[in-house]
Amino acid sequence: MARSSFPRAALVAAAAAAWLPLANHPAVAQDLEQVSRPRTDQYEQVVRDQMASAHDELDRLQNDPEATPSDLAAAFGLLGQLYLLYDYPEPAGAALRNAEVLDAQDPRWPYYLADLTAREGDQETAAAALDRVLSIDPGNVAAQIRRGNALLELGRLDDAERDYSGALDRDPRQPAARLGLGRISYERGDFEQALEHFREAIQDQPEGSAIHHHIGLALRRLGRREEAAAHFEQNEHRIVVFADPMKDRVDQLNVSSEAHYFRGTSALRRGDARGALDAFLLALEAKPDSARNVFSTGLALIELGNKQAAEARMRQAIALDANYREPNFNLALILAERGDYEAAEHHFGRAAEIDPADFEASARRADALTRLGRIEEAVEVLNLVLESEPAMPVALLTLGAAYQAAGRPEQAWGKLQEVLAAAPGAPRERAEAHYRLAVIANENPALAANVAPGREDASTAEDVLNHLRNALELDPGLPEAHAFHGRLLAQQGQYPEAASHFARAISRNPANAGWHRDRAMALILGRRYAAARGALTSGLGAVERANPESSEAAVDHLRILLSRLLSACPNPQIRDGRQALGIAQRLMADRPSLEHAETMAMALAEMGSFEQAADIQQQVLAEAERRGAEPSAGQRQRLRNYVDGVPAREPWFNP
Amino acid sequence: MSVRLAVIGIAAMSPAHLAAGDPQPVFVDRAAELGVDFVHYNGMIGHLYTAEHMSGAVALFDYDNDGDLDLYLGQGHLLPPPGESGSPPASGDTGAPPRMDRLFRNDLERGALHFTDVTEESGLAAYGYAMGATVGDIDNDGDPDLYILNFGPNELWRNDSQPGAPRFTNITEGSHTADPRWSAAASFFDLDRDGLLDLFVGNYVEFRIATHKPCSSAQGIVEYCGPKAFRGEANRVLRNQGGGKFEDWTSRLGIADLVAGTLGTVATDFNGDGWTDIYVANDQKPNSLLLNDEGAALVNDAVMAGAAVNAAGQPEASMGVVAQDFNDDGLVDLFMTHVYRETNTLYLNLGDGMWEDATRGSGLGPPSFPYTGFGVAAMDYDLDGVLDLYIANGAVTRIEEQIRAGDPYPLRQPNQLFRGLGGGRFEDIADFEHPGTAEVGRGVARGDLDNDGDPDLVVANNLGPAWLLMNETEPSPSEWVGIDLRLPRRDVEGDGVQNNAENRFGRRPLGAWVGLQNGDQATNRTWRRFHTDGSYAVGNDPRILFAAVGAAPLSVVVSWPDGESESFLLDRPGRYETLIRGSGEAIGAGLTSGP
Repeated sequence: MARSSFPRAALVAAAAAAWLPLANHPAVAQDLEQVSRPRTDQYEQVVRDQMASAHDELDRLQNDPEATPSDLAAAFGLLGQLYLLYDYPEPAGAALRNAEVLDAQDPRWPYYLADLTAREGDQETAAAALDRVLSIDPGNVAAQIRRGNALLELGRLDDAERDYSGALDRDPRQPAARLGLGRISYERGDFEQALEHFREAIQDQPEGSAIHHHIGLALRRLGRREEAAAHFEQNEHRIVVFADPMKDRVDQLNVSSEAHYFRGTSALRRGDARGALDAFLLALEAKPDSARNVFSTGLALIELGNKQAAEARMRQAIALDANYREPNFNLALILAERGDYEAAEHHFGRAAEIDPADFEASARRADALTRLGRIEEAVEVLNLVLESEPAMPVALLTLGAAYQAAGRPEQAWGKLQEVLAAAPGAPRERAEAHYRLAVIANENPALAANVAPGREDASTAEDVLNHLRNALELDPGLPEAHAFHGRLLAQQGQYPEAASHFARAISRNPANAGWHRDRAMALILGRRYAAARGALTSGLGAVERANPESSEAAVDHLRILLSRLLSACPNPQIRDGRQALGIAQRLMADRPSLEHAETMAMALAEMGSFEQAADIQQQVLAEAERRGAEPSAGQRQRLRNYVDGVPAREPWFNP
Repeated sequence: MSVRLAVIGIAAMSPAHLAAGDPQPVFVDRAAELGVDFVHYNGMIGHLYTAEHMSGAVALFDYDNDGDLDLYLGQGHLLPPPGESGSPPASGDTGAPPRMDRLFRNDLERGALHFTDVTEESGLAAYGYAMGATVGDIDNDGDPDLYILNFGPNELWRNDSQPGAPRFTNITEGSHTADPRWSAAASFFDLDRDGLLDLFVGNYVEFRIATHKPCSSAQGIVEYCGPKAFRGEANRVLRNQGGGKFEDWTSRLGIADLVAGTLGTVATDFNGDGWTDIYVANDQKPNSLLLNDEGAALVNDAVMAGAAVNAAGQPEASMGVVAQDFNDDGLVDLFMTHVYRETNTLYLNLGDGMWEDATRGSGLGPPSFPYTGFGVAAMDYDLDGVLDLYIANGAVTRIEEQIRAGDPYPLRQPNQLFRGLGGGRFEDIADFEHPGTAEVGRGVARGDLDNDGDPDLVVANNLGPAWLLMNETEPSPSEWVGIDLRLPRRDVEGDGVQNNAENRFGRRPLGAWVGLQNGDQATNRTWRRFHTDGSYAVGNDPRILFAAVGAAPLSVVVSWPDGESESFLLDRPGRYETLIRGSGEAIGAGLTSGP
């Protein structure tokens, strides 16, 4: 019997106790145990309320002459379950024993008593309680397995074997029982038999990876060490589980923010972002001032693609706790993704300031600095990081990117090669290094040839493609690599393939307006006009949804192209002058420019308003000349066409 | 020892010496009487910092080579509020006198056991937030040096003491041993058999005050964070280059990626190849058995060896660890302490590089379930020839009953004593309740403080007084013999400092094994490991005590760390013998059935 933890007995006696005046209650003939009322003020209010409510109900029933023993048993039982759940072993035991006294036919009370005592290491009492459960409910497989486990721990192998076998009789695919039989065979030295049981168990529950440990032990004893090693490697320490509805009911009673948070993180791990968000919101409700709970809802919102709401949550978490690194870091990620590098730099900097050992935050701050053109600062930050962590992949990569942005391709090339050498376990960084090497090789063919001695005869294009292939093999979704690949293919006239790569880039980052435009252009040049129109429409929606404050120029480019496609597409089924004009007018109203004016002229011409179109085009040419720019032949030709009543066709871009 | 004081240690039967029905205290805390007035301070300010409840450093070592054990105790300091730097202050807390680690000289050789605080005169001005300590002679000058493990940069203190003049010199900076991470355990060992002690440093987790966030229990109570709340820190191997300099060989040895939250280490030759290996106890991660590939690499074989996870295939929250031959089969076994609701775990060596969790049936499992064990001492307290275990317990999450009673530090748990029954079985003899004196036990160092032939203990309690638990067994001289081991004094590649010309010997060969013959059969021996490491956060008395010895002459075999063996004959029991390598009869390698 396990000793009680110090100095439990004395303290319990001193505690405020709830003597229940049940001795005189007409429903109760037996003496019941004192159930101490533990101090609960360390719990959240919602939990305190839950326990208080259970106590109140018990108080009410004890004063209710109409209450039956079964009612009282249920009230004691609920209190016992709550104390079991919230880790008050002594009052939990007393309440559950009272419940059992009052209703000896309810298997739940001895079942929870068994759980309580087994958890405290008292397998003898647990086994006895499970005897009572099984006498009431002989078909309770979970109880049979639990009793088998207790008896196995007590070394009563024959008794444990009977329980496991009984559980298997009722449920032949019961891996917990099979595992128990295997352990018994192992204890008896019958390693072949043990192996057979363990193999059946893992077959029935492959996710119970701890079974591999037992298989490994048996194989090792049989001298099959190589096979054993293979199984030991597969042990990811996941225990074998079995359906345990009574225990689940207790767990579901947990209303603490921590329980909701745990449910949320579990949901997040299994990819259920919606479920995670719901759980995190409940956690937040239980503990509204918890920066972690606010932050967690932000994480779930990121997973759900709602970056705008996520950003607000991150800011709220920071407001609650200014020294909280994670929301600063994640907010910075969101800001960087939408191109707000100034703000991203600030928050990565805060994360690094809060935890100077967060070198990833420093490295990403350097990346933001690079994108802001503050290359020297970025290099300084990265060199500091690399002093502490010389082989840190993300730092090496960012330094390579900084050198690349600074127009120092040789140094960039060297650092990126270091990433490939130093980061076998960092596929994403290696993927991006390959992508950047592809870009550098494309822009600096001589450099690529020089750094690969003996390969001077190899074509640069091959180098570029090799790096791209490697990049996409390591990170099949790497959007920059897909976009770059798309541009290369488009240059070679392989428009359908190019469009496909742009689409894959967009699938990882739907907010990138440039990739939507490139995709649409590849589709247009491949004469897939309907698809292009769809791509532009959906692209505009995606960019605006992801970031309503997205760069005006980026969105304008998509609008211009869409308007011109609707005005000047060779396929008449695509053309829609009215819609084109609407878009062009909005462009002109928002940000008047020569390009927007010319787009409007095209739309007017498509609608048959050639006079207006010619007038606008004339003004465009005059203004261009006034600014010292020579109008292109196409622009002049369009003016002549409008004067002659001919609409524009395929003028996708201004020079 | 005949004095009977208030019992704070363990009330138990001592079967070898006490009449049945006459329970007597075996261990009595005599710290105050013996001059040790040390009270640990953890600097907590109410934020439940993980580091504050983990500290409790102690080392027993004979710094002045006068034949008795001196005492080092590690201290904490005030911790700043969250968001501020966690680095230790250079001076005291908020203007108060600085808190510092303490060094006590044992004055036994002057006629009576008593300790004198010599911290100031020794120059040991250690102000770091001490987490642990280990002891080894880094410069082969025959006296032990001290490596202090901190929450913050570690410190290496070279022992430059002369007779009557304690002197420690901080050589941390020049030696490149100031690992800034939270270190909890370390082992000195000769990695590459170059004659110089190298250092394995076990690092714990990336807890930083600057980023501290409170954790919650599954029930939503704000609690101390467990190791899973943090990234683990990588361990480190510092190779002794000679001349008081170390070089980081972690990457070179292939263990830079081994990040597991280490709290305990023991070094010895686990696979019998003549190279010292390391066993690493990790908190809630699989433990590691780092086999030494001839000084060129450390290869983790724990999983295959069956010593990484428990019988259920689960990693446990390993804290303290000891390596000894618990079932007297001549093979090295392992025992480690764990958090409550896990058992402490005994791994018995099956031979052929295989260990197995043998906790069930050992008697060690269920009694440990309600407690969180930290330090552990393996010793034969009752001199019956069988190893016993003493375990220092202290919770890591606050105990509800103690909160309710208004205890400001509600982590107190009673310590435990398990009496060895032989064959790897133990009985929990400590059927006692501490009379209101339980503390938050952390480090336990084992050593014979009064040189009377029975093991005493020093317990470092977190935020509490250090206990000097004197063993009251009173063995007769015929019942025991003590063994100290030394290498001959020599220069090593011109780098051996040997600044202490008084010393006759070289350093101690940590990781060696000593086998004492039982009866007439030369192959029937009791084997014990010669070490200072192990337990949690402590440096132990390296000397080995054998009890229940037979008639003189006593036959002893020493298996040196490189696998070579020598035999010695001792002409009488009842005293400590120093066996110097090369002075016995060489019997080659692999002759014995020893570990």
